[in-house]
Amino acid sequence: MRDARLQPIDLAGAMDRFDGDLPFFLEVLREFLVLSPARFRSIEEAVERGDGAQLRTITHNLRGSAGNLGADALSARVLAIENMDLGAANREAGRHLEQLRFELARIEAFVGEITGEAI
Amino acid sequence: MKILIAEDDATTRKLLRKTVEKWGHEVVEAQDGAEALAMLVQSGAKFMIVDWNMPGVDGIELCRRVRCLDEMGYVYIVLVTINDSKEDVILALESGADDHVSKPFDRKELRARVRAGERILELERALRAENDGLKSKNEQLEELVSIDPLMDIGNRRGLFKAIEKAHHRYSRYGEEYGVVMCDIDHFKTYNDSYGHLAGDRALRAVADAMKGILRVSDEIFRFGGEELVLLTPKQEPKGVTFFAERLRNAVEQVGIAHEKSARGVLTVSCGATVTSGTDVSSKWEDVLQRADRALYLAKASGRNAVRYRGNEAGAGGVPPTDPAAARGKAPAASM
Repeated sequence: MRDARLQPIDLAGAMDRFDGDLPFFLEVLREFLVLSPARFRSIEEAVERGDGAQLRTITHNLRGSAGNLGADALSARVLAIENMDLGAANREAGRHLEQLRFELARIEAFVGEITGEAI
Repeated sequence: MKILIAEDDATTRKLLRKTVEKWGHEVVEAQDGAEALAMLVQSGAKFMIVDWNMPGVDGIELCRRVRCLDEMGYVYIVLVTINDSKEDVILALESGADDHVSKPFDRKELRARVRAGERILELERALRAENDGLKSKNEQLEELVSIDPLMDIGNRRGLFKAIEKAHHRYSRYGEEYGVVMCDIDHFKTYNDSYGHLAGDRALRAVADAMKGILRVSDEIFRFGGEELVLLTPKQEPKGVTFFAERLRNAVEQVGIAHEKSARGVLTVSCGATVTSGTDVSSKWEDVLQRADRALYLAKASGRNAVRYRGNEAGAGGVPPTDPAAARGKAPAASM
């Protein structure tokens, strides 16, 4: 069995929030996977525009939904961006977004493993 | 219970909705604070789960605005947020939130907090219902203490309240009012001849006869004993005298036998006045006293009569056509 800390999703924690309703959890998670790339682009655009308020709003929301889904690793990476000043975010935006996309890919793989489906 | 969820993040909103619906609640959704405010009024929800960070009107501002809505009754608000420092919690509570849940939320904790809110709302509902009941009983009592049970018209207390209001309207807005004070003629001898129970029946009959000719805006009160006072808004000297004459005639026409009365039936004497001139700066008691003096004149003129007395200290005190003269009697001397 793999170490739970390495898992992209804390399934036990998420199942508690979803009252053990795995199909509903997967439904919401799939929606999250569909919506996330657009959110990542919004982060990128906010950084490019130097719009700190918009950057905080997007990262804050993303962190909230990731947290509810048990996507703790993704949530931690989003928090790192949220806590940055605009200058640092601008300098490191590419690296951070790459990490976000990496975590999203891990979540997709995780869903595939659970359901036996390709996302 | 109907719960309004205000959350801009679709994922969290969907999770919250399903969670709350599973507990048997009806859910209304809003994607931001402004929409939540509109939906709250529209849906009549009494419970809100609100995200702190929303575009435009955020959760904190939403709480403040909800607390300014007087017509809503109490709305219980749980603020859901990642901001869970002590300072954040204090700000949330001070802005009007009742409770606070951290994100990612714990389902059992949220359920316990929703139940706690339900208990508070239930208590508030019970208190409100009790309060409404007491208010209604108070209104009934207020009405009862202003009514004369025998004549089923206002009593002295009711008169003082009503005339005070009418006088205020006159002083402030210039809305004149007339006062007619009536006294049943030879009522003591009626009681002595026919007994007090018959006297009570006669009092009721006199009140009923007078009520029969009132306008909706006129009011009638028992001043005490066999004396009645009528308030009649928007009157002038001629009008109030005519009104008093109709009252006098209505009682006479009932035809309550009174062998010791000159006309063989129960009659009333009426004194009338209207506000004018310096009444603006005087008290309602002065107006009432003028009607009383006019009544004295009617009594002195031989009873079953109407007399008018105007405000001699100011304009508008012109005596109207004497009703006795109008009925073919000699007019009384002006006093």
